[in-house]
Amino acid sequence: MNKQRFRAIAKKETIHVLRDPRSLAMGIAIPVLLLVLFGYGLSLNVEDVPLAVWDQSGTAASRDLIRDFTNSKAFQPAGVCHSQSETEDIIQSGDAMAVLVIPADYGEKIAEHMPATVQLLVDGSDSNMARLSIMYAGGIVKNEAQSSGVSIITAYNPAMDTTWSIIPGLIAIIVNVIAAMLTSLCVAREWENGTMEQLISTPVRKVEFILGKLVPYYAIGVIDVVVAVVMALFLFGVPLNGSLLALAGVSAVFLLTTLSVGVLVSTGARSQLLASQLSLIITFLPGFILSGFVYDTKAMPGVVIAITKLIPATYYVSLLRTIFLKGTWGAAPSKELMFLSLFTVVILAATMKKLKLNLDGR
Amino acid sequence: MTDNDYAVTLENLTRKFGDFTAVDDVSFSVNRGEIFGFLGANGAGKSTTIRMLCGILKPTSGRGIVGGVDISRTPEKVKSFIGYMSQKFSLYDDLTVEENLNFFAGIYGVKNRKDAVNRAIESAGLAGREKKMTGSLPVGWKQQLSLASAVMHNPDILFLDEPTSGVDPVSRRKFWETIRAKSDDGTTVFVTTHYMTEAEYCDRLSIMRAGKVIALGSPDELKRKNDRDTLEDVFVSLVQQTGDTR
Amino acid sequence: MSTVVRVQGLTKSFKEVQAVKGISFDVAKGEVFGLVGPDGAGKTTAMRILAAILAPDRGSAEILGMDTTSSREKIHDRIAYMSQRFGLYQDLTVEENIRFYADMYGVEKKQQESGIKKLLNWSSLTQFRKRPAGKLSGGMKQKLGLACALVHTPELLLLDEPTNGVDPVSRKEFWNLLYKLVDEGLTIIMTTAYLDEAERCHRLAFMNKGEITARGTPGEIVRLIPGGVYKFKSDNPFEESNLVSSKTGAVSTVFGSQVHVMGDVTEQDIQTTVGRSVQISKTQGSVEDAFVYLSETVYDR
Repeated sequence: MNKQRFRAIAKKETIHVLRDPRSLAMGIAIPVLLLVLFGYGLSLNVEDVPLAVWDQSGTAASRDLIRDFTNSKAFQPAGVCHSQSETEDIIQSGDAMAVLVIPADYGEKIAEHMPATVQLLVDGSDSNMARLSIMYAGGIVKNEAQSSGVSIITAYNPAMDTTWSIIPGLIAIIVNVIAAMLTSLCVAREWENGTMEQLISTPVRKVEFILGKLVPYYAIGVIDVVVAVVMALFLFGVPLNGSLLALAGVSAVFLLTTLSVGVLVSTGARSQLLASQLSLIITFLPGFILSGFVYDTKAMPGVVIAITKLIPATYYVSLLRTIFLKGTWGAAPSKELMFLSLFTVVILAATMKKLKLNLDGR
Repeated sequence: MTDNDYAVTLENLTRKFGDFTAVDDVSFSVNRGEIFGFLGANGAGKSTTIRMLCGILKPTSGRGIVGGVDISRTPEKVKSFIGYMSQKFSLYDDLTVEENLNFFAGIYGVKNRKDAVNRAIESAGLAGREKKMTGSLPVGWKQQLSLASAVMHNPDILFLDEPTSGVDPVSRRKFWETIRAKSDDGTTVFVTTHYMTEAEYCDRLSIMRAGKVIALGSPDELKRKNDRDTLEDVFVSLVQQTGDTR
Repeated sequence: MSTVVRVQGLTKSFKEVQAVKGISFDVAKGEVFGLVGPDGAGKTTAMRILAAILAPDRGSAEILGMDTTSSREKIHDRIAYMSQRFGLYQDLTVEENIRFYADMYGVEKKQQESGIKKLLNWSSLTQFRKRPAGKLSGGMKQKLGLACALVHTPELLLLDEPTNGVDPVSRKEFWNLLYKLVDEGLTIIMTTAYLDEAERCHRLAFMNKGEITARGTPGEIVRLIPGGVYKFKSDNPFEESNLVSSKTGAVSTVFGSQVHVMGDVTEQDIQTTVGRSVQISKTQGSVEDAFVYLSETVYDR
């Protein structure tokens, strides 16, 4: 690889980006906009969630708790249950979207200032509503029995471990889509503008061409990640339980992965329009549906699970959630990093093979 | 003579872009049925003038009358009786010859569309090629098709902006034969070109430099007046005088 | 004189279309060689093969002793190719464009400063060096394209229709620049659809339907019109030209208000066909006449 040529391509590509307000907007403004839209859009207040109650305790303490629930804006009373099967029926019928189950020993435990547990059954089919219901319920219960340490067990959507899991996942999806889209234009544009024919008549090599093109978009990707993380921490108040270094390292690898996917798409597509649409489809759809961002992949059929394991976004979503929320950095993440690295190498190799610096076969 | 005896009249027509005066106080008239050549160096103001005359760009000052209509007052009216063909050949490459013509007949609101399309195919010499994909045609045929599309609605005035760029001499000659036939039928043709062998086909020529018209007359007149044997020499001597290449 | 380009039996097809059908020619050092011919004759395909960016199906093209298929990158180091669209980055300034190509060709940074300054000066683009290429006029774009192509002092320059859409003054300047380079020993191969330009080449190859149908100096090409060219002035040049060619079988064309007649015909034939007393002059003709003659006679074959 010739450093001078690599630098020349990187510099030229950077100038393209800096002089084109649209690409800068797409690269930086749109991710911010998406994060705000989805971040708030998906965590808007819920009101009047129909709530049924199965009060096995029947004490003053349990009635206090029920009153707090029904007096809150979030919930409205939707009936009373007397058995396990009734709680399931009422959710299935749609008459209630949540059931508050108070165990028989609740009153005694509160009276004795011992830790008590209530259960909230939530209809997980509307994951956003479910998430918010749990959040509100948590607030009410905490208020009611601070000293006794009432806790909530949720059902129907067990993977949903926390309210804020949406934001780290959202960062992953947005970075995934935007980065691939940015690079998807860069080769197709040269063909469309007629500059490619000139460029391939110079001694340029494939490595210089591909890596040089990645440089400015990598920089934009880094800016996106930084901005998104800052927003997550300070705007949405998501806690960062893991290390910043881990976050940076994982993002550094994933950016390369998704930028490479964009270059590969661009190499195969003849027009910028086709390239951008193609990159949107292959990054957004699987990223949204199969990465575990919205739907719990564990509940999917075996074949689909196998497919989810081939999608880079799956790993980034899970890695970001782990770093943000769990804060653990055990053996599992390194396996995920390994996959991302391997995936990137394969994509870049495919790009090298697919890229033709001549007109043969065109 | 009244304005109506001329197909096109420019009176002190001026267009500025910020501080830059692209067209600077230009006045001349084009007779009905005339082939009028509009020459000048790149950036002399030819395209800006044509855009104003076609009603797609407003003059800063001055007047332009096209087919009796004031281009500043009712620019949309101008569009109904002019045809415009640019060097880029505004054809759809993924449509066939026939589909392209049908499309243009449609947007110009041509009556008896089928006849009009058939006539256009005939006059462009594209009979037998109706079903060919436009993108696969050689440049010369594309040019003929582009012209046929621009005249679907029998315009009174035809604007051609560098219509023969990159077309070979044999195709160019055929093209000019078609243009001459149009002019014989009474169509006024307003054409820009960089090729002086083509300028020879025009009845009258104007040469623009830095936004102003610096010469006007028939090819023979211009040669005589400037004491040169070829139009190429006339052009070079006139345009080079100031060395202006904005 | 040493041979810079040797083309032998070059053939290239795209799907069912044979774009180039076994053409052969040599170009010597310091020559300006023109490939002329109608649209779709295969000129651009031939140029792309010579630029080593397209592989032929059969035959070979040797540039500076190297094969265009097997030594692509080595050839790219030593030649320059200017495609029809000049390959300029519209959003880069004049200077940035030249610098980019200087880097691509590995011109050392130390040499770049003086080299770029010289090129800007030479192409009279110095005062526009901060202007984006997209905002240049056609003539300036063309000169910038040339400056970019020459930044690594190539030994062979390939120009594919370099003067499309460029005004006569700029074209004249362009040719003056080219001749200066040729004086310094550069070899040039160019294609053009404009025959007044072809007259400026040392040697021409006339291409039609993928084959070279005539070749020689412009003078030799003109002499291929048997018996010269008859010219007369007419008020209805197209009508009378068509009349003459259909009645006598001669090739006839129109230049402005002049009718040119070539081929197996006498002055008397023309007089009787036109049916009026016309003043006929006879000249040797131009390359453009020859082009029309060769195109028409080959089409008829």
